[in-house]
Amino acid sequence: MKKIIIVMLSLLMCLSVSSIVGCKEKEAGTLVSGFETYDELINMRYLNDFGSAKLTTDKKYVTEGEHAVHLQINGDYKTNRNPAMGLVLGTRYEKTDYSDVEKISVDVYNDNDFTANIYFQYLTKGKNSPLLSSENKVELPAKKMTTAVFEIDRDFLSKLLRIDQVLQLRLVFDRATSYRQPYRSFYLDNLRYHVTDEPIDENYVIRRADEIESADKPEYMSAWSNINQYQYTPSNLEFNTDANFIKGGAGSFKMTNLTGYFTTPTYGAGWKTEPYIKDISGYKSLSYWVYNQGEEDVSMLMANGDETAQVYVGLAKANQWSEIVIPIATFEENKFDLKDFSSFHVVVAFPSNTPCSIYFDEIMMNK
Amino acid sequence: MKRLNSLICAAVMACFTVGAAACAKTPMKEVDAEIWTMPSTVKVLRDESYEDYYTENPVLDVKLAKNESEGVQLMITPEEDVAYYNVSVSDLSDNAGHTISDVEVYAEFYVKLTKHTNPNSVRPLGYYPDALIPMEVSKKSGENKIGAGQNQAVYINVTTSKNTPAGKYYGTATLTLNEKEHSIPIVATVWDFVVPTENHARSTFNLMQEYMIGGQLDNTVETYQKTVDYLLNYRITTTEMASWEYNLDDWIKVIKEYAADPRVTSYNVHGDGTVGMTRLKACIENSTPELNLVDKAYFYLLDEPFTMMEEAKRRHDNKIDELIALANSYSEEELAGYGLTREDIMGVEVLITMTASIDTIDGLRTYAPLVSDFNTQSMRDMYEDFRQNPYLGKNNELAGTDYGTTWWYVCVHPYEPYVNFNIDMDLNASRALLWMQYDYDIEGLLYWGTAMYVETTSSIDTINGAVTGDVYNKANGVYTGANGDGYLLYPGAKYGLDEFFPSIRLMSIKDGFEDYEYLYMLENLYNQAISEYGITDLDFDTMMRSFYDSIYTGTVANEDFEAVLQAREKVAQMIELLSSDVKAFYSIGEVNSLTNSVDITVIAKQGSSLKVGDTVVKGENYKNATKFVYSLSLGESDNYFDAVIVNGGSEVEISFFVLNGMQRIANFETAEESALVKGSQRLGTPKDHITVSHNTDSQYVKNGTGSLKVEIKACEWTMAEQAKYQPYFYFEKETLGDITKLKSFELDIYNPGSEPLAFMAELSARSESGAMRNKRILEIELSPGWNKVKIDNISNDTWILNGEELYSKVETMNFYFDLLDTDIIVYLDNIFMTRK
Repeated sequence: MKKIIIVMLSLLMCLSVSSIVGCKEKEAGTLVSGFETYDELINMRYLNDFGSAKLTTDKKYVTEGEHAVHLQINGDYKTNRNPAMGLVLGTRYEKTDYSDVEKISVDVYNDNDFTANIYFQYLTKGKNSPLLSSENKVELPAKKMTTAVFEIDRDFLSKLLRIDQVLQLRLVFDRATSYRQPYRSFYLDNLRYHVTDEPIDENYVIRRADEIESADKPEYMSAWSNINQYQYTPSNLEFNTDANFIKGGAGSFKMTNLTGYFTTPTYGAGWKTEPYIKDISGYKSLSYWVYNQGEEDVSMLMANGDETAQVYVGLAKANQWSEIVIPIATFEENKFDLKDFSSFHVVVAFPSNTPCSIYFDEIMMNK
Repeated sequence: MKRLNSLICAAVMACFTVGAAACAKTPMKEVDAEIWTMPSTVKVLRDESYEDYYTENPVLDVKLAKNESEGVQLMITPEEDVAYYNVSVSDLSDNAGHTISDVEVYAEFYVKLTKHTNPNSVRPLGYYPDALIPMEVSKKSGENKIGAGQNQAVYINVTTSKNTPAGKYYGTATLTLNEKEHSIPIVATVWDFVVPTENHARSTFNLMQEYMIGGQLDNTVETYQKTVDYLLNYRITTTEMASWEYNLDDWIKVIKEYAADPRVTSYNVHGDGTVGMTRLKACIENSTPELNLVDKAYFYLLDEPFTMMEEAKRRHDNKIDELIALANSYSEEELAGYGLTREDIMGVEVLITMTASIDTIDGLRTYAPLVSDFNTQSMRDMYEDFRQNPYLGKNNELAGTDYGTTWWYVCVHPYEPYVNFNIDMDLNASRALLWMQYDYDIEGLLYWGTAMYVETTSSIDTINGAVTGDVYNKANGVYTGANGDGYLLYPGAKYGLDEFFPSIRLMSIKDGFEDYEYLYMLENLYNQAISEYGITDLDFDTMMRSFYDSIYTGTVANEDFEAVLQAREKVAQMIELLSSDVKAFYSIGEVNSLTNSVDITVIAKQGSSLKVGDTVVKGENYKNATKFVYSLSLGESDNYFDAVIVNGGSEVEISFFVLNGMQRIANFETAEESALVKGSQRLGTPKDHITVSHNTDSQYVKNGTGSLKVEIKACEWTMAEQAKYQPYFYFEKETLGDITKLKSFELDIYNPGSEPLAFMAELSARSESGAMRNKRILEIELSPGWNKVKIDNISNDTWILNGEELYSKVETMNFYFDLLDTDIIVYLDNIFMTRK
């Protein structure tokens, strides 16, 4: 009801003469980048074996202004890293508070003869290191100019990320899937944001009671960051929908090691989250399920409260589900503030030279 | 035409806007400007004054051989703002029907240095020339403007082919300033020999594919390979000749092409781990008797393993053992089929770099220290000793082999005064580096980044992504403030082009590689000649010493930016002489300040005669050749040697620069001359601890019958002395004359001890406040025995402190030793200076 009233009020405002221009602006959005200059392009970030980004004046691809940018993209087919370009916010693009942004749009000509995807992500300030929102996908029909519109679920995202402190706007593309695949070709113009007056619903609930992580939607990956300083090493994290590796709900998270990264026989790699539940003093334990898709049993670990050491919490047996149960006393013994549960790590003592994937699911607090 | 159209459009619009009265076209203002020239070996800063180099009738003078390129700079310094400038160059003609039409014109792009690479540098900050933007591109972008009083350099690069006939070629450079045209003659002298296309100086310059995107907006395989080829045009071999994205099959295909390319000197099969051995195996098994893929392969095993020295040694030795095992895994038949020997495989280079302490690891096969690690003879001797004693395998399998090599490198370090490729370093220095490489028998040169457009500290940040390096606007952004470090190319993407532009540093490095080929050719011709003449008591290195000494000392280039060109001209002339009918070569002896003369020795085909002016110099039979020794008197203005060698019907001219105007200071033939040298006094007591005395013991005399003995007595040094006193002897300004006119100061100094002595020199000036200000001008080691010490270009730069110019206030030139617990004795002789 609250939303309906706000929309009606907005419409009424639009009908008044003085507000017509402002409403049109809202509809058209505010231009972040028209990809107009070399200086602008070299101040962007290009990640994961990107390819190339060149200015073009070809009118076929320029929807506004003088230039568009022509992207030829490949990425590394041997990794799970998608090529991405990031617009750094704060100086050239001043706006960093995206809590009022309900949509991001960009004009894209898909120059390929197949339907291709473009994704949008925020990189936001995190407690210790930046956090990426999950990839928000739009399909692009072949050989057509499309205005890709990424709807931002502000109520949901604001519970996982600081969308009022955005560091970068990321446009992401699928990586190649095989050796020397032809480059994917796109033309981009006019990246815009579209604001709304509607406030964020502070009471929006994104998790069940007692839930730390259901891993049921890819968007939940936004709450997780690598414990390592590198985003993709020495393990990576993906959303899984293969029912064989789901313990509950619609999905699970899959953590995979990068073999050969360390020379030691096993190494601790993992991902961490800032838990939704802050006060765990009334609970008996924390538990989650892991499926070890590897050749040998591996130890599961977590960090202690000040993240200076890793603590053994159980064994993930090869090719089966194991439940890891961590008594609340373990948290107490390891310097956690039970009234302010600020960080939880899922760490795996991966083998160094054999491939191993660990699926984890249903991280719950138990009374 | 586009520019004209733009102007018309703008004018039409202006008419509509402000009315017809304001529409008359205003011609661009005629501007007075100094038009002058400089060689390719110097950076002319945008905002510094170079009035001493202005000339009435400037001529663009360039000298080169066949199959090479050489640059020259046209300089413009306008009195008022210039809104438009352009330079075009006509074809060059020898007036005999031959032309040189391959002439590139670049506008030099100035980048701002806001801090020095070496924090202790006294070089000026401000705008340095670096990027070379093709003139047409500069015009199209509208950058072709000059501010009032600023220097704008235009780099003109002349290229000859193998078939360009030798001779002098004439043309015209047309400079347009606003609308007025100026004609500047250009003269190219083409020497009569062909620079080999094959590179004999090995190099490995890294090109990191991933970080090309930060400037060129492109890190595709195609652009990578195009850039590898581009660098070959500058005689540079890229570390990874094939993109990392290639699988093994495609990698070996690319390597096959480059292995057959004479310009390519080396390729990394990759460092530790399995990749390198897999690739080396592929090189072996794809080799044929016609194409050896192993010869240029090497392992760049570890890069600066500071924190893992022992581990580095272990991995190195393992790699050697792996190579031995790999070589032994093939049968004789297999190897014959590949056209390889076991030694080819066992001897593959295994290279480790390190900026310091590499000499603490014994037994490496390929040492690659910093250039500064070769500054003294004792350091060079140490690495030669290392080269001869590499690891021989766990069972001593390689005993009796000689697989050791020595490379060197520059990166952020070494700081000036040592040669490096930073923007604030002199161009003659980067060129001289390749002369040093030849002189010191260094196998190859390594550099870490040619198109690294990234702020390096962010390069491993896979969360935020690497911060791109805007090299046109941020010269110190690549690596910890080392100006220009990590890139030698500029991205054409700034101008919408899918190509790179060279930097002036890249041109200089290329010139150095070409000079190296001159030396390579000369040594071969020289060795052929002395072999033919049956001469066994001469050697190439000794003959070349005076050439090398004129360019650098140790691994510090002399400041004279023309010295390398003068030495190169002499080398070219010697190549021509040795290739001519008289098959001659010459050497310049040491200056004898007692007689104010220098011996020029010419050796030519038997039966030759030498004419110097009207004088016929008497020759003597020297093995199967004729030897002439001509004592050239040295005057107080520039000294040249001009002569003709005649043999039968052949007459060959020799003409070369010998020395600037020379002035004797002392030869210590009499005791009275000893008074010219004084010793410092201690801080403690007794004050006097240095004595100077006349010596006649002939073993310590360089010329004539006497020298000067300097004795420094060791004392019980006080705490204050240990903290800040260094004993020194000095010359006063009455002896030195006007320091601003002084070019070089030279002396022979004998160290009778068995250990090298640290030896420094400083100018000491008294400021208006009465305080003494010192400037370091020399820092070397005196080896046991005679040492020739030359301090060159003493006052070529500016020495200003708190706005006060100090060269004109120099009172003494001081020569320092370290404070030792033992006495120091040295002998001085043959002291002279040259004037600008």
